[in-house]
Amino acid sequence: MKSKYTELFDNITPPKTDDELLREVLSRREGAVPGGFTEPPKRRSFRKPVIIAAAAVAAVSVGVTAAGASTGWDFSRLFEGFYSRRAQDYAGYVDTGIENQVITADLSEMGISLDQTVDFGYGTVTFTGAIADSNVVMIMYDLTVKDEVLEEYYNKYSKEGKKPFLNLDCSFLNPGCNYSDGFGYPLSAPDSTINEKAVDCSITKAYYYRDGYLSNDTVLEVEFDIFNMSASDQSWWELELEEPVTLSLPLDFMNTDRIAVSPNVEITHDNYRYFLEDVVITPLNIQWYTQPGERIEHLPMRSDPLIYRFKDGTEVKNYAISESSEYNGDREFHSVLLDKPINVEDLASVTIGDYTLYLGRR
Amino acid sequence: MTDQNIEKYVRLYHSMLYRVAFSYLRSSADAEDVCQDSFLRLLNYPGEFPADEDCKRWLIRVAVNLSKNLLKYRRTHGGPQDPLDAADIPAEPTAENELLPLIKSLPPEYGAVIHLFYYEGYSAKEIAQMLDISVTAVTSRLSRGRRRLKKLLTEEE
Repeated sequence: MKSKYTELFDNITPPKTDDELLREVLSRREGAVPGGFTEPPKRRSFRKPVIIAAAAVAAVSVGVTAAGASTGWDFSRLFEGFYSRRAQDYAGYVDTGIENQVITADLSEMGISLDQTVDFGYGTVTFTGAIADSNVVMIMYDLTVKDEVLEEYYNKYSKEGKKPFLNLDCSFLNPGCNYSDGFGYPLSAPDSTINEKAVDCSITKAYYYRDGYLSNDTVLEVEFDIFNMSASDQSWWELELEEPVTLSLPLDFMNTDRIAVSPNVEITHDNYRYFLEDVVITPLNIQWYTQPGERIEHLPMRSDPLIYRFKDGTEVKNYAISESSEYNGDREFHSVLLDKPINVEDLASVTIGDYTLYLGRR
Repeated sequence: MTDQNIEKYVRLYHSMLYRVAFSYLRSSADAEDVCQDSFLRLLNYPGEFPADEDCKRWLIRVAVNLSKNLLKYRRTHGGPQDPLDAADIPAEPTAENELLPLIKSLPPEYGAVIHLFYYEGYSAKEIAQMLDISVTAVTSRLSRGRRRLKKLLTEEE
């Protein structure tokens, strides 16, 4: 497949020659529009917050073949991948960070320990825990790969013997649920040699729900059917599971805190003009629905941060870890997955683009 | 950024950047516009890149973001969702036309990851850093993109 793809793209050439493009670019040097990328975005590390230790939660049957006992799972693992992921600093925006730890939501009251293991043929998946609010579900699981499968991978795909990242991909979700983003990291270094111990990988995946909300009665249905391995030397192996792993997860443990408002105002966000219809805020996520946006041509490209202001005066900017916007008929949907859960009751206001939504007394 | 360096990077990366933008936008005119805009932004880059590869990755990131914006603009302004559906597309077989069924089968965000992986030879980790997404997101998009391409291309073992 790769050689065919490469062969096709080799024949794609720009309509302008290099000289023609160069002349046009240099001729506009004086009038060049400063964009949002005048310098490469600086990367910074998030500060780790104090995570309130989770109380032991009884495991419930989640529709998988193996049953496990409650182990008092540590929810801080959920955000390890998120917090270690460095974010961009856009010129002109200063990130104050969360100073006051009391505004960090208590993860133990919105999560559950699972400890359920399934052998899917090529390895095992252990569902370790889940966290949910009415917009988002996050599922955490560990992957191992069997020695013989790893050996075959090295023989066929990775001549350098580099340990691969592992991933278990899903293909079925509840109607209205969409896969948002995932974070994974190997528990052993991926660039180690073949002689070290077998690979393990720990993954967190997030699913968001739109045009409605999840409730305590919801049962999340997820089917994992593709297992893949890839290493830094670009080796890649994808295996279809003979029997998909199905996770049926009742969400009766979820945090139901939710703010839903309908501002019905015109806003500007990311150089687009929108009519903002609905905003929904939960501990893990903010969603807003708009009429289709209109590009404001004269403004340079930029990205507006999301700004949370809390009643204690703390302000948090640009902490999104993933964002999606979809065009669905007459509505656009925007979803921002936060990298720190918040107590929605402590919010004073949220700023989206040039609009600030004051939440007032509740 | 000096004129000399701009010239160097145009000659080094114009074709590469065009193909990246084309894999996203599926339009030669739009892809060339994104190329031009990307190099215009490079004009304002303060200082120099430590290595040419750093500039290449920076340009790819800019081009992908510009392509996303342009695609969004097309959706909301009633222009052809896929510019290559316009009536003035030549009927004769061209490299673009032969590639069309392939890349039209992929959502744009999958196409960019597939292209960077298979054509430019970046690893999943490098793509994740360039596009500012997680490695898991890259591998998921690669997996789904491959599934969609399976029917059109011969699998390599």
